[in-house]
Amino acid sequence: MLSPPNTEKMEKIEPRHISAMAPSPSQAGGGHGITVERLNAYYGQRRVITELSIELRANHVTALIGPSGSGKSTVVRCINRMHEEIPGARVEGSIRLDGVDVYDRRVDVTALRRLVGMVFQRPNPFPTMSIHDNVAAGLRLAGVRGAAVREQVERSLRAVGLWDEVKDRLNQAGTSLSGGQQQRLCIARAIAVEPEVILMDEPCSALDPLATLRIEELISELKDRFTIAIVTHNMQQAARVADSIAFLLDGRLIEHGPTAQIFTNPRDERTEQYVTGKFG
Amino acid sequence: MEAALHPIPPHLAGAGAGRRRRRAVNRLVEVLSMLAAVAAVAVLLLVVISVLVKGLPAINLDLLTHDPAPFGQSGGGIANSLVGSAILIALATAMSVPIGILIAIYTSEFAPPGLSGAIRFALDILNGVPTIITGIFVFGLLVVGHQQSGWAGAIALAIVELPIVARAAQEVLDLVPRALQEAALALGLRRWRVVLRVVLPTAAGGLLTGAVLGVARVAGETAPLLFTSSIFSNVGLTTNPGAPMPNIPVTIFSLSESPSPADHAQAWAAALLLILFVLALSVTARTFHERSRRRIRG
Repeated sequence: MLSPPNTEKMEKIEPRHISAMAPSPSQAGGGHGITVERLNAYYGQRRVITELSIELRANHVTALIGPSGSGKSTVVRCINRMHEEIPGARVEGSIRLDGVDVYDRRVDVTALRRLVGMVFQRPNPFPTMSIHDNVAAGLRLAGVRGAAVREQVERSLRAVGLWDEVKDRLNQAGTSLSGGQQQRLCIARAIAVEPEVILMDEPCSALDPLATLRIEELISELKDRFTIAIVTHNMQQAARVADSIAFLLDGRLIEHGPTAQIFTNPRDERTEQYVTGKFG
Repeated sequence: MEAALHPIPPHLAGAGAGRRRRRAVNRLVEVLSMLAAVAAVAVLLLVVISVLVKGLPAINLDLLTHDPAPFGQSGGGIANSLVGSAILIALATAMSVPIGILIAIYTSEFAPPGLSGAIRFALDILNGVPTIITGIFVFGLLVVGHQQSGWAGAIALAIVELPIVARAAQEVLDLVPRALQEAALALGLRRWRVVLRVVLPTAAGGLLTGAVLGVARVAGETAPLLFTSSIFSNVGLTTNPGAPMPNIPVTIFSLSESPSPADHAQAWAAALLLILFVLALSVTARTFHERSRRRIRG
């Protein structure tokens, strides 16, 4: 704990095979956790996250719930530094991935984003690329070539349960799939680069219930390999997929605890009011 | 029969005389606006038809394949002008399209909003600069003290073409959904790669449309070429931009000033070719535009 943080893996982008990437030093058990400490996020002068501290446990699914505008999406966008893509946005505090502050000046933000992947609310496959090329989009950048790309594309599509449905039409446009399939394609694209953490920002809100269910099953399977944070408006979904639930209100973390405890025995009155539907 | 059984109460039928007058005004406005639309289409048809009628008889293989006949002789053609125009347009497009797209990328992706708006404004103004002024400008810069040349003509045309390409490119790049760029950034791609691999391919159809519209505009521009590439009376077919290059617009002008009716006929024929070329480009641009809009919607 006292040794200097290892920023090497986030400093340089070197072409190398994904499979050769050394697993990074991490918490016991081999997983990768995120520690957010006293995060404050601003859009210009307006503060939208206040003194937020939370721990995303390795290989767990943490759900962030709360009413609209509570800052859930902003928090996850701070973790992979997508927040700073908005002009005028800034951040204070620290966010550590395996002990390394992702906002350290030596950290290369594109390398960080390959370690922390993101799935968005509306499926967004690249329209000019085929299904295969969509999944491979992040891979080729990392220098993976040829057969290794094809193998990784197949592995990722199998992992999201899409392989059998698309294996005969890998060359068709990514946008030729249904909404639920497109979102699974986006998840495959995110996991193809073998990140350590996956952030999901309301991944099912644009999907029908059946597609939603399939993705929730997928999340439960994926947590063995990745640490997952999911922002959701849907409390039943949080109850189904999450190991722990964090309740946010007006940019502050009100309570964070195991799923069962949050629903049956919340410590804060506001949490209780929200989960019982009195507001939000 | 029904009306007798169910008379319409006055407040629903509308007050009497006023209603007739309002209906008349309505009708008048409808008729006037329709006449205006008809007039616009009629003018276009008149132009196209008169050029067609006067130019078609003079179109033959000789016209397209021979250079102008020596002074005093009949026959000959405008092959040198066709080739010269093609080269000038190609050079102008090769200069303006890459620069225009780069400008659009800068204003869409990298420039702060204030600067972006200022650049758009400047482009709009450049678009409105009378082309004769562009011609004089390039004349003063490149021709005075040297000689006319195809390069000077191409540069003048490129200045005219640039704002069209750049504005069209800006419009279409702005249409590319932010979500796609976010997805690419979140994958760990660098900004320039996002632009190159995601934004530009998605916008490709619209960029092509902009280029085609630019070509359509400069195909017939005469004033810039009058100053920069118009002294070519005895020049045969040439592909050397270092000297003045024969071109269609100036040729139409000089042929129509000649006393010979045969020359006039050739001028009409050249005008017909030009207008067909521009029409074809406009239709092509429209088709690309539709396809690209459908593609961006995903």
